[in-house]
Amino acid sequence: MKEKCPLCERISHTDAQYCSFHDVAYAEIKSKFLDWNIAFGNAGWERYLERIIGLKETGVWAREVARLELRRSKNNSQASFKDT
Amino acid sequence: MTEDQRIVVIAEKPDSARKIAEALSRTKESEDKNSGIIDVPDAFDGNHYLVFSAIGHLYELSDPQMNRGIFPIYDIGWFPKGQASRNNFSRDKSRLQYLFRTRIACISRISQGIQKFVNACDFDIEGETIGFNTLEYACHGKGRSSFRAKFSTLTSEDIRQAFASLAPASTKFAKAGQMRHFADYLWGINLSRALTSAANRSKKTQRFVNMSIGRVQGPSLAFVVDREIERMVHVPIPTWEVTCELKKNDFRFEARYRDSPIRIETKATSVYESTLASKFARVLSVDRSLVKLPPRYPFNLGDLQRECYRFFHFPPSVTLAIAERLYLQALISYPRTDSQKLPQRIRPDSILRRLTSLPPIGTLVEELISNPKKRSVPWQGPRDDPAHPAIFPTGQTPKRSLSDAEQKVFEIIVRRFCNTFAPDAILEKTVGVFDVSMNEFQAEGTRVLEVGWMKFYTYSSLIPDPLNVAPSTGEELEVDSAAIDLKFNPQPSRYSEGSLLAKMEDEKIGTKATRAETISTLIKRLYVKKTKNELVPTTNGLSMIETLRNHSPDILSTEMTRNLETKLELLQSSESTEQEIAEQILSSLRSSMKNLRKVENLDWTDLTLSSESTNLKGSLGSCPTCKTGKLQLIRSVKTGKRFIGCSNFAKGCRTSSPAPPRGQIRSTGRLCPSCGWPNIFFTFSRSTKRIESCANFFCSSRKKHESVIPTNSRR
Repeated sequence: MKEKCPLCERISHTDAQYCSFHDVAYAEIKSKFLDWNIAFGNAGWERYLERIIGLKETGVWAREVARLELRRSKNNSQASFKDT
Repeated sequence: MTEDQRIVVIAEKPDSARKIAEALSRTKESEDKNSGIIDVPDAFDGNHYLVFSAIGHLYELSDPQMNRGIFPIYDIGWFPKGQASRNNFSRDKSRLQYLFRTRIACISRISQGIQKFVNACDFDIEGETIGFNTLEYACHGKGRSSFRAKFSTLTSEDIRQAFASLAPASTKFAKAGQMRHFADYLWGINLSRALTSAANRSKKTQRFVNMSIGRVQGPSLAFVVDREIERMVHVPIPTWEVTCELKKNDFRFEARYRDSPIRIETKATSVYESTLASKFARVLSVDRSLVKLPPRYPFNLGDLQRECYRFFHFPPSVTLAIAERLYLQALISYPRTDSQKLPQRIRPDSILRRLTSLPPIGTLVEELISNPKKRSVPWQGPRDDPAHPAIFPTGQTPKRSLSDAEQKVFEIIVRRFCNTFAPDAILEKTVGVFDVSMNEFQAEGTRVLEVGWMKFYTYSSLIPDPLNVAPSTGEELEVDSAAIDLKFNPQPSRYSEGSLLAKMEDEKIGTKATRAETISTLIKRLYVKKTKNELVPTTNGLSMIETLRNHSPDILSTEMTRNLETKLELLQSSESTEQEIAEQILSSLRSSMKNLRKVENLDWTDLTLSSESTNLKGSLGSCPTCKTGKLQLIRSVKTGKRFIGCSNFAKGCRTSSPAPPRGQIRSTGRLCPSCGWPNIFFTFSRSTKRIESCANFFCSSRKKHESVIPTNSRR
């Protein structure tokens, strides 16, 4: 069954969790994480996402993906904290 | 029976026909405005000419079946313009059809018995096709036995010279032109019908939508969409720039850290802190170099369109229209050219002499003529066009006052022409390197030593920024201040009309004459919106490209379009045959159609169709009955009349009201206190005041406006 993109409800044709547009944005966020780590030292995934969400230069789709990823990451860390 | 000695001349437009007749005539010529024929009984060469004016294309390709539901179609033919159209309800269209019909009938009647025909349309592929079709279909098959008059300006001198050296017509240009029309028509009509059919099967469409795509339109839209996607997914990278202000004898200038931009925060901070702490900078080196800047190349159409966009913000289509008007007034040469060369046969020196009497820049031209460094041969660019030279002024002064926009385009052409004779501009570039506590900083400056061509072509974007101090090596300068800037690389900029035109030129898709029109079509079809000179793709544009890329990517391939352009050029030089090209067109079309058939079966649920794609352009307000729909101005496909209807018609809402048959209708944003329908503005003409009234024809509040608002029902 075809999955729907959690951000825009468009069908994701590939195995990715997002639609084709948001999937490209997600790949871009992951690839630029390395540059940010070099620039600021080990910035951390959540800190990185928070910073790119606040920048006016960040593209709309990239910001949408970053927001969702940040929420997911925070939920995951809360869940693991509860588990421990 | 004596043979009719008269000669029929086919001109492309009424204005050019008039210019040609004026140039040929020794005395006074007489024009019959109904038939579009100008009689020149006493021509300069003793002949009797009948100059016939076409109105652009008199014949167009059409599908004889006229059924939009049928595709693919391959059986098409040339028909008198407007004859094979179903949309006959428009008054303007039927008037045009009448005009085309009468023109064809007149030339057909007059050409009987006449032996000699001259094609004097613009000397390019379109002109060749217009002339050939008129001669072939209206003048009883005279396309192959006619003569060709070749000229680049509409001055009497050029036209008479062209008529004195008439050449037998060559059909290869006309055949290439016809083949281009075939390719564009087959490609456009079949794919557009397939897309329309597929889109209307989609569950997301509530009303009939028209989709369109073309051979050049598809790849051009893909450029705009791809750039937008790049912007949407952009994630900036941080970089730092450290600068310091150096001081010598109360004169301050800025120097930049040499290895900028810095990509690591700790390094940037350490450079900044050490610069801030240091009091002096030592001059390591000062390099001065002379740079010779040659003049700008003569204008071809693409360059002219780009420069007019850059300096005056004229869209390329507007620049082309203005340039054509200037050509028809014999002020400039033929603008649809690719050439950047000014050959000696145009006698550039005599043009320069004539330009001295041109009011705004006459004195500058006189100065140029008397300049000992003036070039004897104008500066040439690499591009060439076998049909026409680069755009140049004819040296004639305008006979009527030019509009502001025409004046600007005319002046830039004159200045660019003069610039090609001017000497090089000479600049001095200075690069100073400074040591500030073991960190190297750099400052740059440029000074104009000799203005050269920049005096004539003042549109240059070069702004000299001289490094006025002359520091010498080893000298110590004071460090006044230091600054650190964190920067993020911005999103790539959107295409403007000018930059999209340049991209299409680089990718070699479309022709110089059609590129501007393709961009206008993208805007007209609502695939692209123009916001502050930027081209922004709409939801439809994005969906269209995504769907086509997923299911039939060859439609968007620049490779296919470029190959076809090359083949058409080969046809012009007889290195390829019509058969080969037709086969290529049909095979690529068939494969795309096959893919689109698959798309049709997929039901296209991913094609998001917004109201932008419907035939409606704006909402007049919310529907008072269903509350969720929008009231919109709709033209009935059956009757051609306008009415106001609800966008939820497909869901069962039948709210509607008759609308005035003419005039503008705009939303006011207010509701009628009597019936709750939205209030709207009616404007009937520029001279009349707009009237605010209820959109509901049957509302009691409309009674007071009844005498002024014309209605369909009253008609």
